Amino acid sequence: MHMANFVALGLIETFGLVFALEAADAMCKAADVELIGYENVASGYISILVSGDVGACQAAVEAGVRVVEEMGTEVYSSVVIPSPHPDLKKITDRFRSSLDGFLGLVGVHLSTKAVSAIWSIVASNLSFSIPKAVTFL
Amino acid sequence: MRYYGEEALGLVETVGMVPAIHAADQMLKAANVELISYENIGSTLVTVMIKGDVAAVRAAVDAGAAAAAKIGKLTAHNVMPRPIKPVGDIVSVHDIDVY
Repeated sequence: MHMANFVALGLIETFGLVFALEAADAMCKAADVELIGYENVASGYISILVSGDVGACQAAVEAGVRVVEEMGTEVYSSVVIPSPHPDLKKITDRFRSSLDGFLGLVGVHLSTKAVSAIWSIVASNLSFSIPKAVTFL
Repeated sequence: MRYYGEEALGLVETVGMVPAIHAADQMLKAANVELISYENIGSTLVTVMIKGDVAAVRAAVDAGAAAAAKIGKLTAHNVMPRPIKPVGDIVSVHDIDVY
């Protein structure tokens, strides 16, 4: 899991936690990448950040985009940065700390069960009730 | 990096984090500039700010804005060659080197 080469970055941003979690799950299963970040810009858009070698990030981002589109939504934005500038770490390290709080319970490779567990934790913390249809995970 | 307004300031603002990260990466690679801050204040907009000499900041902001516009929504980009010191203080509120 702790690979020698965590150089490249892959990012996906999509509308809503449901799709973002599904994308994160698909990304981590599709390739040998580590989920290193999550960002909520309070617009409804959630971003997921993975790291690994270039080929793995490419495969992961493609898988994430595909899974979201299969669910009937468009990904807002996605990118693979093959060789990030060293100073970019100053930004991405911040996501790691917010991720630790959010996903500290589960391992890096999210199974479907883990995703639905996360979703039920999130749902139980929200002040409004989630319609049953949405919790299909 | 604490910014006092002594160098030129470059800003790129996007909707969402992905275009902002990509822009930041392209800006840092495009010219000899330094990252001051990355600001996500929960307003849907994310701002990346850099500093350096005017020509470098201009080149970097052009590269960063183009990169962001290609993969997402760019809302604003600007170069301030010589801002007043209070601008430096405001910008440093979200200093990337301060945790």
